[in-house]
Amino acid sequence: MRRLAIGLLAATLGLLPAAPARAQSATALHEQAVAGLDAELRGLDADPSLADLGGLERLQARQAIAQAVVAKRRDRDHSVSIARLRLQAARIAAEAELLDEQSQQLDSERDQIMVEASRREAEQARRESERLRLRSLAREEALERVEAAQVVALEAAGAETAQARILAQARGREAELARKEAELAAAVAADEIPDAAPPPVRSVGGRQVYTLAGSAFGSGSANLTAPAQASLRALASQLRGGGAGIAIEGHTDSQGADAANLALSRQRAEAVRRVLEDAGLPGARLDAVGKGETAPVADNASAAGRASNRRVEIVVN
Amino acid sequence: MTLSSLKIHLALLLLAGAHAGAATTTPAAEIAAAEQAVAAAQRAQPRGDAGATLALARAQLDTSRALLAKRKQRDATLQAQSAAATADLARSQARQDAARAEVESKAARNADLRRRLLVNGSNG
Repeated sequence: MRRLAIGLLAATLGLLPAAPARAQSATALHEQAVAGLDAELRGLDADPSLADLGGLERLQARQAIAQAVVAKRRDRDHSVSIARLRLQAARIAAEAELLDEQSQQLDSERDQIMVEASRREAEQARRESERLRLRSLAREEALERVEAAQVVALEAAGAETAQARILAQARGREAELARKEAELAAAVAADEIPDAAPPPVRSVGGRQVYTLAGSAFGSGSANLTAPAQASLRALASQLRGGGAGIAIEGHTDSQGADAANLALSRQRAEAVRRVLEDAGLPGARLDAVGKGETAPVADNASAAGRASNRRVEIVVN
Repeated sequence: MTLSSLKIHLALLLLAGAHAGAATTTPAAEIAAAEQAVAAAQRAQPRGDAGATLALARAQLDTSRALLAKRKQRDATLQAQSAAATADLARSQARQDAARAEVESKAARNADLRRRLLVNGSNG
């Protein structure tokens, strides 16, 4: 027993010089590992993108490193392993929170996109509305231009109508003047005809009917020839003393349109009335009417019959 | 040094060692903490590397329980601590994976919205 104790003591004493050296080496390695972890943690803290992120995990890592610093020799490897896991978890947790922030930013970005889309949609709707308004305005302007053109055209047409009416009136006056000129010329000529006889007369129902033949007028005209006017002046001289009414009836043959014949008969009766009035018969005694082709005295089928039907009858009541 | 003094020295060393082992929490508490960490990691639905990390944590937890059953208190404690740290790492990894997937999804969604509403829409 004594020898065993002495042997153990000798062995222990023999190992003493080597043990402190190994312990110092292991301690240095441990300290080096812990220093590396601590540096990594400080690097994580210094990362601006990850600062203040993964706070809980970072605290756990910090505590684990602190425990590793003070860990007993036999717990050193385990404590370093735990600290390494905690540090890794802290970095990953910080990165996860950074991703969470990015996710929130993407949500905000989505909201901005939707707002921008709504704004653009509203802008597009406003532009469309403006476009429609301008188109409507253009249509209204075009319509106004058309209406204005129509007004101008109507005014021009009115002016043209008025001008035509004035022209017609001028032509009417011209024709009237020509007629009067012809009548005046005929009257002058009639005055030069001496001893003209009144138109032939017949008695019908107690009334005297003087018949002025169609040859007393120009063809298709209401202008009396000079001999006819001279004959009518002679008739006026005969009738001037009386007071009976005198009916002047114009007649035509059946050639041509009824309306034209009626108008021509009326014009011829009127021409006779003017001559009689100019010759001294009061206008109140004279009544000129046109009867057209309604009262023939002969057959219109023959030229002689039609000549007989073209006449003016002066009926003295 | 006499034999008696050597015995006393050895006894003091043993007591000191025992005290050092007892200075930390009990294995049961460490195992309970590890179980909570594993459960939390499980709720994060880890896949890929995170899933492998969680599997490692579970294995460490099982080892810890086995060591406790064998009354190896210190080893059980260390294994439980490792299991807890590994499970926390798995949870962080799973959280990071989910966050990355969400960011990628939202970025793609925004790009699609921008293309449909702003690029194509602006032509109209």
